Amino acid sequence: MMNRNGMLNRHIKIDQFLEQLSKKLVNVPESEKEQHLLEIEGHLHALVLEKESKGENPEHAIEEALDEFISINDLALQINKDYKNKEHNQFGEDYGFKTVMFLPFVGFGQLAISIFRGELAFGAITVGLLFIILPIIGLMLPQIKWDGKRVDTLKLTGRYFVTIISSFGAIAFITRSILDRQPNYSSFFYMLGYLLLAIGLYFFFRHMYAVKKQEL
Amino acid sequence: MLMTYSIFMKKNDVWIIQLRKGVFELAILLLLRKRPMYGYELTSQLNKVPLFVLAGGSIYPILKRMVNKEWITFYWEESESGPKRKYYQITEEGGHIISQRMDDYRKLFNALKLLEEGDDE
Repeated sequence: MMNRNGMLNRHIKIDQFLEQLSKKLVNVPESEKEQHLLEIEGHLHALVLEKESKGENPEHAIEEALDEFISINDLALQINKDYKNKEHNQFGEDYGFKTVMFLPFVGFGQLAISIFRGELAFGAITVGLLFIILPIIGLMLPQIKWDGKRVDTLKLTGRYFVTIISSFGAIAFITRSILDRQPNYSSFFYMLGYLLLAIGLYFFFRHMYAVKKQEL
Repeated sequence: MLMTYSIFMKKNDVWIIQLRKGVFELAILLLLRKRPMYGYELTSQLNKVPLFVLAGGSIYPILKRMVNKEWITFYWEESESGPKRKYYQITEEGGHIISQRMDDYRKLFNALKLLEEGDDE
């Protein structure tokens, strides 16, 4: 049974090991790094428990477990090498995927035209919705192969999405109001609808990120 | 046995290292064919066989490559005594790889045996 000091020692030394390893995993996408570290933490934990069950005291068990474990540099080298090879072989710069992720921004730009005009611009709305819906359908296709980098791109898109899209809408509304020299209420209501759609899409990206990260 | 093994290893380091590299994946597949296992468990099982002794942690890059090749898949499971565990299990493709490679190794061994036992002429 671990004493309080033993538990404290384990967390500090193993956490330090994992922290240093994390810094060295330079080629690993963030979404996959966490899983690697969790797995290695589990391994170290099991190793320490095995030694304690053989009568080692907690401090020694941790020291021995870390000594027996592959060095941080060697482990990071092997893991990074695998990701570097994968980068060259799999998606390259992945411009296609990044373009697909950019399309919803263009779509919302089209939708913002109605806010700016203070009236529904059906042509722009149609184009805008296509630019939003088609990438969503594309992302959900089973044929799409997901890796850590693509999942990270999803996270990044979601993170900036609401800020950038809200800004489009707000700028369009403010510009309309300045031009009209008074608040344009049609523009305001279109902006509300626009923001609701943006928030919906944000939650979609968030959900996709959570699902794809689990699958990595 | 351990001393004999380590003397043997010193004399034949490079050759054995190269030989082992080729069979680690097969060894892991053979273990996973019995039941799903997590990394620590796989390492412990491999370490029971002197030829397959692995430093703790070395198995993870190998497992990652095997997942990328779709020979194995994984799932996470809560553990009663620590962090969540990532269990690996063999796929159908992994099963085919075992049959293929074991067959190849048998043929290789038989060919070498033939050369060993054959006439000098």
